[in-house]
Amino acid sequence: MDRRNFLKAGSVAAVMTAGTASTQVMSSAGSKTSDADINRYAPTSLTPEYRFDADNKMIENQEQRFAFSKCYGCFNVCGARLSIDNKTDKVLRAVGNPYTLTNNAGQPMTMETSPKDAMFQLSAASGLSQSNRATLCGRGNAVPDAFDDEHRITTCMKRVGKRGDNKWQTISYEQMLQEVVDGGDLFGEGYVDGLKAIHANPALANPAYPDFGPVKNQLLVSTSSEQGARADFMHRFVAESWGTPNIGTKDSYCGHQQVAGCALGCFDAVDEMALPQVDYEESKFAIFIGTNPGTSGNGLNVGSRRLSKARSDRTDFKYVVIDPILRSLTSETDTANGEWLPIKSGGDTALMFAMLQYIINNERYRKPYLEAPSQASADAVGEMNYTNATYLVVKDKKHPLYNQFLTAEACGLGAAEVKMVIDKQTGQLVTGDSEQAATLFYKDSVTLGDGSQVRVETAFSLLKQRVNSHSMQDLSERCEIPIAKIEELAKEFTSHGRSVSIETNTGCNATDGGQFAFAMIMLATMVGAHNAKGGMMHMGGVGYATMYDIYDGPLYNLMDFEHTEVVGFNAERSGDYEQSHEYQQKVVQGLNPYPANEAWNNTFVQDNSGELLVAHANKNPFNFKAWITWSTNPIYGCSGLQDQVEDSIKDPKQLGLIIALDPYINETNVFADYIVPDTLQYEQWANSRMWGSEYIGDVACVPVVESRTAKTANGDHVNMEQFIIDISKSIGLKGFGDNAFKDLQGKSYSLNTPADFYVPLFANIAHTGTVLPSPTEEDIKFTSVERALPMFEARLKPQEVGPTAFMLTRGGRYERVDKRYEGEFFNAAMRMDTQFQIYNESLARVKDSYTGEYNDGLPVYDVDRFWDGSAVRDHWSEKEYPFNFSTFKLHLRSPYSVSLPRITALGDTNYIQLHQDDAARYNLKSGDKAQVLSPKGKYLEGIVQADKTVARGTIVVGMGYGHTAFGASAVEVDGKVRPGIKERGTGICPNAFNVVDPTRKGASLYRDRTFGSTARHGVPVGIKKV
Amino acid sequence: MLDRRRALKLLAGGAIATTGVMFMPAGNAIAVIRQQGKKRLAMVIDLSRCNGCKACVVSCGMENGTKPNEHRTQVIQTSAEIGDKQYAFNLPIMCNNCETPSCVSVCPTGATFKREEDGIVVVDSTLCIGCNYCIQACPYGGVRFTNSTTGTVDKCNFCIQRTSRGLLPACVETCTGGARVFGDINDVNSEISKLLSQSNPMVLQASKQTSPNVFYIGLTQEESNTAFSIHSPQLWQR
Repeated sequence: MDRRNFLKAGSVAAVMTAGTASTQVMSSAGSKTSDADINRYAPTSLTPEYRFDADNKMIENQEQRFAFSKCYGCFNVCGARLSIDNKTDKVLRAVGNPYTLTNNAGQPMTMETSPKDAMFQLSAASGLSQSNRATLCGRGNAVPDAFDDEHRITTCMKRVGKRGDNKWQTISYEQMLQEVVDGGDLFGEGYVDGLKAIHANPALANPAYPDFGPVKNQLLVSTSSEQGARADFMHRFVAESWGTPNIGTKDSYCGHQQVAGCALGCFDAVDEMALPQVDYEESKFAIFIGTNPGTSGNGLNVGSRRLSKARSDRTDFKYVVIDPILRSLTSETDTANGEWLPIKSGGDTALMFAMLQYIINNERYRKPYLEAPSQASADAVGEMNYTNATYLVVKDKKHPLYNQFLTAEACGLGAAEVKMVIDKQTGQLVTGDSEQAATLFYKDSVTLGDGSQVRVETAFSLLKQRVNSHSMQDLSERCEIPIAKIEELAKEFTSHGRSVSIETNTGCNATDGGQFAFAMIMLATMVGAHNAKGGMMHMGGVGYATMYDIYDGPLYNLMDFEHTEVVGFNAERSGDYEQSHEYQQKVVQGLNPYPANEAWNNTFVQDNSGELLVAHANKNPFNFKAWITWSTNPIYGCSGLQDQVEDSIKDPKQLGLIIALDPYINETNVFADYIVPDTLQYEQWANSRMWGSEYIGDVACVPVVESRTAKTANGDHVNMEQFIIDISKSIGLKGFGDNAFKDLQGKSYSLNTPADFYVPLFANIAHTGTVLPSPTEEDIKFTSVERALPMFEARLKPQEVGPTAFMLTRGGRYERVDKRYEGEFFNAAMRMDTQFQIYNESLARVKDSYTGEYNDGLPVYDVDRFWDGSAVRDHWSEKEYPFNFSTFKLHLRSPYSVSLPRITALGDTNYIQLHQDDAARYNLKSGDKAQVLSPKGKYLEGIVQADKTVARGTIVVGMGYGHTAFGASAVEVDGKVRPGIKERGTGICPNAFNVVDPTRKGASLYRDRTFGSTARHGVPVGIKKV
Repeated sequence: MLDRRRALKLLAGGAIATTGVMFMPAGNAIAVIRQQGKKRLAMVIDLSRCNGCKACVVSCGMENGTKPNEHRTQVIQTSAEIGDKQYAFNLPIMCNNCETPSCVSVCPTGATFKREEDGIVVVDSTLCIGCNYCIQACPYGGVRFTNSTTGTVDKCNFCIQRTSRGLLPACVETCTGGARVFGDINDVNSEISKLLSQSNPMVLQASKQTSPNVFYIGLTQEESNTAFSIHSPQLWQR
């Protein structure tokens, strides 16, 4: 603007200023700011969904509606409250649902609170404490932009050109259904079996591997495990209706080995789950290792708030975050009580062992707790739980119970289930159900029932030896934490009774991730912190589906239909190798059955999408004939996978049919033949547990905005559920269409639309335990549940509608814990009462598929090793690859957030991060370009960030960048090109670059030594300046 | 307040200058504001409760319709070395809605003015001519900017569309750590009043003598004298 115009504008404005001034006078006289004023001051801002007048009466905005839904900005799943524009049907704004256990830390609204009152309590007008707010994190706030994203898929698409060309044509839903069900020469590339033919073929998929089942097992379904009831719906199709064992999820390449590893210390089993959380409210000392409070899984909203409260409101809470890289949560405002401790990637188990060594050698453990062999003896000394520390392990190699607990049966004193201990007082061999304390240290022979002698040793004595198998110096060098610091940590951890805890979450994934977690739980066991006030809270993230059989009553049994039998091992080889055809053939031929030809895992069933694709790439046991991939992205997300399997996926001769169900084209489903558009969160029927909740709670919602997806000829929106229903009906699978399930009176119901499934499911949840009351008309109207009510009235018995609708007016169902603690422990409902394991006998019964040796019952500390047992560093030397590699999840990045413009605007790129002293040796400094070099022969080129916030000897790259899909690249639909969006493709993704296991044949993944899950940390890498 | 001998480790490109050094706890500013005796809306940001999640940044953009790369508020993030240890530094910044704002007097059209009734400094978009004088006059880098949709100057106005209607600002509603607290500091019963009296709040760049209405708990003197900018490159990707 030039000066003349400026003056002109100024003079005009001067007149108007006077007008403004008069408005101000009026306002100061007590009248409210007018809407016209607001429009001038905030021209691009939203109009609130409601307001409160001078009498605190809520005045709703008639142009908008209010609704509860789920947040799926990441896999935590929180509750969202939404403002929706009636005219455009757009969600304008999303914030947290104050009823849920994860959005409103500590004091969620009771279910009795009316939604309007809840909103008043959250308002400024109420004058109530603002600590009672219900939040969503950055990702959750950004989600509304996803719905009308130009790269979202809303129509059914069929590929044009080769797989991965990202060229598509729009086709009708009906054409797509017919083609995928019936098959044919669909792409001019030759005949392709349709789903119907694949399911109907009774022949063996591969006669050379008869134990891997019939041709119908050649359907691979990769799914999301984080979509609650939607995932259950998919699983019902895969396992019970179709009947294939080959279902994959991301869990086992995400870090499930740590969940399973924690469970090794909690249950006499190898396929259980545990992932304890810090009790922020009462903890005196908390260690976060491989995670940051509130990030990676445990609910950012609730985690961030609880950490803040503990840090700010309490003077007796200390915490240490142990991780290769400093994150945002150890704040400089709290140098007295909070600390980041750098650890070399891959050194986590070493630290656990070093702490255990110090604690055991200095007898800083909770002796009465560990000496209690039974519940009765624990009760006698005021403990809530007991351990198997005093149980005697048979150490005679020739004895059939070698490395198992000595049983009462063997001693002629009872059943095989009862184990033996040495009474502390008398020194006599007694049964483990003794009410007296038992001896922790015993290593000698005992006389059995038949008079023979057998050498035995207590689990705890074995543990002491085990943690002393390496010197403190060795352990310290491995994790690069000084001995003095380790001792300080161990002392602090054993200085606050049971009110200490240690929490992890998928960030410790070297080849010993499972063992790390086992050892981590052991630390808490040393002080009896499990289930204790201020200690380890084991019931986090449980939902109704975990705690109740919500698919089987109390009103409807959704699984009551004729199931298809699942026959054969799954292709990833989770199972007992010794039951396999291969093993038996080798034995028959007089060959050594070990090593197995392929890596097996006989702990938990991994359902690892990555390993299933590896099996496909190796044609072992077979190529898949069809692949349905829904809401998951293993090519991007699974460490090491991409180059192992991509060619085998691209080749239609190896894999006839790929069907994707997703709202987005991602790095995996870009190879699909057909894409079925799926709904996004607010358009969905959803019911899900919430990570980070401390007790039973589910977010539940109906579609609150109209789906953007195309419609079927019947007028229903296309989505995952509709597609699965319709293909099942076309193929003739049970559990869909007519007679799909029954109510408890035996009456049959049809399943033709998503509502047919979710309405009775919601009714079950609302009627589980105490039946919910009915909502008021105001509740139903205000929360927009009235829009969905006809769907419930059409399907439920009249008396069932009220309680079900009530649940939706609160956005879910959440059980309330009035009394958090009972004495020194959590109340019974929040406890996981179990026998904690010093020695896991079940693990000692599982064989390694390479050596044929049994696993150890104690945690193992070792160097990183490949499947064949050779040391990783013997293959890839320190000299050539001097660093250990680590990855982490960025705060704002989730598997989907790259599509959100308000997220990509908050960071142009990720970095290659390392310590400045390490960088200096390679003449590198922040801002330089460098390549991280992998022994796989790949490199990762990016920008260096070198400072003091990374552990020495470690190179770290965060996840969530380096996308090629989600709109990062151009897509051609019906001949029109949608250009790629630059902001979505920036930065680097470490997964494709990361290593695999060269000792496995063909395609492979780097494995956890105990569980076979995919490992990714502590990997040798080099660096060079570019 | 003691200077805890910390050194902010600024990442490459983080243009941060230390401005005139002035040690002024917010008490003085609060006294100035309270002399007015009227409703004075203000925000306290307790840095010990901020975890750097940026929910505030995103919710502000959604609520106020700014382009994704235009921000009324931002969280400055870097590391801080204290002794031999490394810590995270998270500092939310925004327009301070000052008591004696330097932006108002330079506005040739009266578009920017301080509201009598609640102290919010607003920009009347129908009067703003985009001369940017206010942007230059403001000592707080980047908190005023030209909204590319309207072509007029935009800034935090404490979500006046919400706060004048009994609701909380968007950033406060969704602050995961509970760091942001909002209210009338002349209402002795308000949460913000109590918080200000209990803690030792500071303001940013007190030497500029604008009496900000955004107060910080946990800020050091050195940090308070630093001229942070909303436009700082976002190099903290963690």
